[in-house]
Amino acid sequence: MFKDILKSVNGYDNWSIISMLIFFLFFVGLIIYVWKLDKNFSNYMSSLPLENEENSK
Amino acid sequence: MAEHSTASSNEYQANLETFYYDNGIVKLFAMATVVWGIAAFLYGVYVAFAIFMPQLNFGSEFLTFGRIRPIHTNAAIFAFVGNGIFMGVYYSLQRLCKTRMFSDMLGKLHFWGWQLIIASAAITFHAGITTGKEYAELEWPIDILIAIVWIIFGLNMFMTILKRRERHLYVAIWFYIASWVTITVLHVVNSMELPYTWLHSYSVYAGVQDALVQWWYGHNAVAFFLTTPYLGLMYYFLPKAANRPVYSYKLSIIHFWSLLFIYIWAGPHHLLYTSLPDWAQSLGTVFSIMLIAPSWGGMLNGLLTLRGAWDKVREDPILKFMVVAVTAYGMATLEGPMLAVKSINALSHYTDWTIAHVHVGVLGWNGFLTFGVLYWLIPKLWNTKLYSKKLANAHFWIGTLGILTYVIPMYIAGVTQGLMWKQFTPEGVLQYPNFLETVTQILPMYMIRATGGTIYLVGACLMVYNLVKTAKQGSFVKNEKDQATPFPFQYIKETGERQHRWLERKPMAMLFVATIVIAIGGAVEIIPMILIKSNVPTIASVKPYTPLELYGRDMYIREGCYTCHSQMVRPFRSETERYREYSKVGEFVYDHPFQWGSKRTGPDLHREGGKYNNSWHYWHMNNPRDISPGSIMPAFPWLLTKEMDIQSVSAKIAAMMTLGVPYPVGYDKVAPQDLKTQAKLIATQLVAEGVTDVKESAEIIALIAYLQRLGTDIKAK
Ligand code: HEC
Repeated sequence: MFKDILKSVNGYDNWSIISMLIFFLFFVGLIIYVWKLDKNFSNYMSSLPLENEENSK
Repeated sequence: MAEHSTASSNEYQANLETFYYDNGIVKLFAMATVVWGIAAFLYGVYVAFAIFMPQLNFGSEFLTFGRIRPIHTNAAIFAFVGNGIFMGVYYSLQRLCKTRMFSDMLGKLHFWGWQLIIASAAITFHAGITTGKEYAELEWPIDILIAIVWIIFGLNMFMTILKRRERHLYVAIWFYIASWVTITVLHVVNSMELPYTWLHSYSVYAGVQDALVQWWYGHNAVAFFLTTPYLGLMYYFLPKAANRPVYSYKLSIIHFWSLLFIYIWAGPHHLLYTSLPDWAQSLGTVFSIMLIAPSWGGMLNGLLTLRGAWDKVREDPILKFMVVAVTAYGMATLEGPMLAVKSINALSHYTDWTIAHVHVGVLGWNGFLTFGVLYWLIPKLWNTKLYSKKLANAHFWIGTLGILTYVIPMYIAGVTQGLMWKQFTPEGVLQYPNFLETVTQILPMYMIRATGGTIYLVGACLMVYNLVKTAKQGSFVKNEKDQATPFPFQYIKETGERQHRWLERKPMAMLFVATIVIAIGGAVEIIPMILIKSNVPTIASVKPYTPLELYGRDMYIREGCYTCHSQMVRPFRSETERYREYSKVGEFVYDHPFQWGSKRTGPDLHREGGKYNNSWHYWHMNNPRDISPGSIMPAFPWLLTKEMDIQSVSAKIAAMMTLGVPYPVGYDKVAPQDLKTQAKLIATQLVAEGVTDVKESAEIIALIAYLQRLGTDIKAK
């Protein structure tokens, strides 16, 4: 029975492969971006919730 | 050099603006969180006892298990955690944006609107007014109200973000934005229903499609209501309470985007081995497992924020609550993907294992984080110190004990029952063919669980006392003063600035990208099911319900039978032996809404039709213990006397026809007559089987008709 369903979804196997691919590319992009993130900036951001003397810039 | 610095600091002073944070709205939501939290726990304790003491409903339809359980779940999710989210957002957003909320008025509307929704939910659920879709049981007028209130909240939030004085959006705010967007989409898509009276409606989706949409919703309600907004709170309140910055900002970026991306794909894991197509199930499993990575990244990020401060954790009840909360988040997000592995799911699904899993999440993660935030926040709002740190510590230990006493017996119950269902004798027959045997076996566990829930509730009551005392000794700061310089309108792009920083500055762009990201995930899952009709092979012998059966089906939904019974026989030998032929997709094409269920406190009912005679059901519904000694199913004696509302039948059939159920043209007009004819037949049979005093117009007749129809369409081959 499942075979029938599968056949009726056009290219169902591509569907899952494509979704994995989309995810993979997204993730790699994300890692590269974070890798290159400016250190000062991330320090600044992480201390945002705390009461800091220096107000927003 | 010195001159230069004074000049710039003067300039800085000149721009400094003074403004006030609105604590009034935070106070309102905080009080609602506490009040509804207690209510949710109370309802929980009540159902926990009622499940093994069915007489606890005192014979009242308004207190029957099937109606109370949805009140408990909805209260825990939308009333307790919901108000907790708003409390945290209204407090942290103002501070992170260095501005007062955009509009006090919108905030009030949001608050009272949300409480109105909760109150109407409680009333309608007691009255049996429900759509029968888990965690989306509210009927259409309330659904519309939810949408309106949610948009008011969104508007207030986005306008506040737009008028902020801090250029960059802290990670907590991204979580808020993403949660808002996703909940909006989920609510709209899953609440598509066709009203047939002003309080009743049918889901526009049927059968497998309805199931897929519902669990895409159900799963993501957990993700984007119970998880992502609370992660936002974690990223704000944990650093606050520990007074140190979050461990890694970079990790939080990865945490955010990968959660957002993966969560939405994983919904089908609620439907493994059901009639859902294989590819969708596999996709659900794969993405569920990938979820572990970002979730644990997030947990570690939270825990490592406390690195070097563990001595503080030992002292401070607030940090203790938060540490256990974050750990529970880690546990639940490790277990969740495990439960999505097909072989484990085959055992765990429909058992109390799932109940244990969700309570690690809600009692541990949501509950404890909320408690931690409350203990931190209330003294701040009332400008005082916590009344008793000792009591808070006691609450921590009592709460932890409560969770363990709840969760451990549920794991034991789940595994025990799951194994018993599957146990064959060496001769190859089911060792426990009588379902009830597998229930009575785990009753002691149910009793311990109820004790655990009670312990947790006691802890929460200590907190209420402590918080009230705290508020009494302080004085409420309605408007809290702060100062900040607004950032220049024109942003001078720093050299080497990258994409994400641009996103952080532009809330609308963030909103847009977040929407795209979840839309991709949603589309991947939903589109093939919704658009491709041929996905559901039609079975010629499957016919629409008769008006009487449809009426009985609506009663099944009204009484919440789906909270204890599934209608989905999975393709295992242990199930086909017990329940016969496994369920086929094509059998559900006229089921608006689907009633596959998620928990088997009672046996599966998909092949119930023809199993017993009518009088068996008659007496069983009147009092299950007369027929099945030791049963924990509640009695439904009112069904024997209550008259059917025949007036509504035409509207029901007409609505079904609009949804594409192939009744003959104009059938809605003759349906009431057909209903009476079939009811007469069943009543006659009941009399023949020795039942006296049968009323032809009693609701029980319709329910019997429905139960006798279940799963018979393909059996007759
Ligand atoms: C608290 C959980 C619970 C609720 C709610 C509940 N049941 Fe049950 N049900 C059980 C249990 C446990 C059994 C097995 C023992 C027995 O036969 O009574 C059962 C058995 C049954 C059976 C017999 C199944 C068989 O094949 O032996 C039917 C039919 C049934 N329930 C119908 C209903 C209907 C209809 C409703 C809603 C009006 C309902 N149940 C609500 C727990 C529940």
